[in-house]
Amino acid sequence: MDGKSSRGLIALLVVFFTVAAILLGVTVVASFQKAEIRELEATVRRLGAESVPMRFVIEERSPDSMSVLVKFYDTAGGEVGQLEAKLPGRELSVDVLIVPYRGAYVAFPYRIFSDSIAPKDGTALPRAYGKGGFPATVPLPTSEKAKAEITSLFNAVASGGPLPVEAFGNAVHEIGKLAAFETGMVYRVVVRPKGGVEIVED
Amino acid sequence: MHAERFKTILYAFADALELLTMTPVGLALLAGIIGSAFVLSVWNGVRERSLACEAAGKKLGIGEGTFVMFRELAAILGKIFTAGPVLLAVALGGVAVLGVADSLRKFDEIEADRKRIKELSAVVRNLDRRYRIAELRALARKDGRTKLSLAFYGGGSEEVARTQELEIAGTDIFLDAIVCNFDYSEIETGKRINLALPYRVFSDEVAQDSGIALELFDAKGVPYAYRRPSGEIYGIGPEDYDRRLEELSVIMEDNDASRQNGLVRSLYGSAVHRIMKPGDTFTVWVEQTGGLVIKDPRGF
Repeated sequence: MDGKSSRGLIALLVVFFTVAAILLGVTVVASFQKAEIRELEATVRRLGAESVPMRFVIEERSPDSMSVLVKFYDTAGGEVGQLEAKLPGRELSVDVLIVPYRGAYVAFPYRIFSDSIAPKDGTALPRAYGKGGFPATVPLPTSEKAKAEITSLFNAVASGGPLPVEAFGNAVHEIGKLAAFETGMVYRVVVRPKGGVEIVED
Repeated sequence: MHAERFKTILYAFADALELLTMTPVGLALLAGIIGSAFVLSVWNGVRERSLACEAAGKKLGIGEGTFVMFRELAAILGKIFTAGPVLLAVALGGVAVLGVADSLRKFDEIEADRKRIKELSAVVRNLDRRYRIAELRALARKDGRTKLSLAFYGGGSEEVARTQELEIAGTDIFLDAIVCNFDYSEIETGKRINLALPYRVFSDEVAQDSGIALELFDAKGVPYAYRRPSGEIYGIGPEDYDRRLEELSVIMEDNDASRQNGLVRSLYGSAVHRIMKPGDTFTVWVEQTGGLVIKDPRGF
């Protein structure tokens, strides 16, 4: 091979390795980007997730009272309990206790009351979905320790015992003519991953 | 435009090369071409020798034919070996073309992914946001009554829009608000933010009906919590404020229409509550994933 051919081949090799280096670099960058996209998509899914521990329907209404049927559900959507109550008043409130637990929130349906009775005189809900001391609306943890901790929280909720200081309640309710619950319509109580509670038509 | 045309030609060439060298069909095709060339070359050599034998009045024997065949094969291999550097250059050139095409494609992919990351980051940012609505402070408790100081914030502002003091029987204090959660598509794109308008305080001992109404509107009928601030603060300009007020009043006037349009996901009352003793403070936020929460500002 003469000197000219050798130089040509060397130039080609330089081009080849440069292209290979660039391709390797952009492949690595694209791979990191893909990982970041997967992570962001997972975050969006997590933020938009919801759990539905209970649904309710106002079966009957009179000018000064209402009959309510409440059903409770596990995370798979299976019914785990129900309760019927007759309340005085015109506007129904569903009170849910939100308790921080291991970086997330656990929601415990707590009581239902109305606009005309004090919350403390409302109808308690925990007994309707407690199974062997464990809230059936909460996914059953795999570890015994976690199960014992949630059971302990649930007992505190059911008995009015002390809860972690960051716990709070959220009584979601209808508002007169602006956002009244229709008789016979099923509503679901939706708990968001960041602790928010919503009422949405089913 | 020229760059795009160049890319189109380069991609077409690279695709053809890739097909020939990296797919079973392409490799079979290539092997077929090379094999045919070999066979043709050998057959041609043998045929020439056979014709020469015929001209000399004799017949090409099996042994001689085999020898000619191997000689032709050796000649072809020799040519390949001699042309080695050229073939190597062609192979390297082909791989380089493939590499350049792949690199350019990856650059396009990186640019598309960069846009996607930007969009998703904005979605996460918009969904992850929360806005301070009110802050409650228990000032004192006497004879089963709790004295409270309330500060209201509005429309994403961190400035207190109004304060109010009140006293109520009970210790579990409920701050009641009208909450409007918009459809996720509206929140994700940042077109709208979920709204909350506090309007009443009641307690575990005081029914909602007997609760204390908050001073909701100013003299012009604008909710205090959403009164326009002076100038632009925290990125919330006067136009945004006006738009949010308009949205809220439209939704409150015609809730059904807003739901049917798919604009509003849920509209309801939400009374967040916590047991308070003197000195306790809690802050109420509206989460953009939906709903009201009580959280310590440092607890995020």
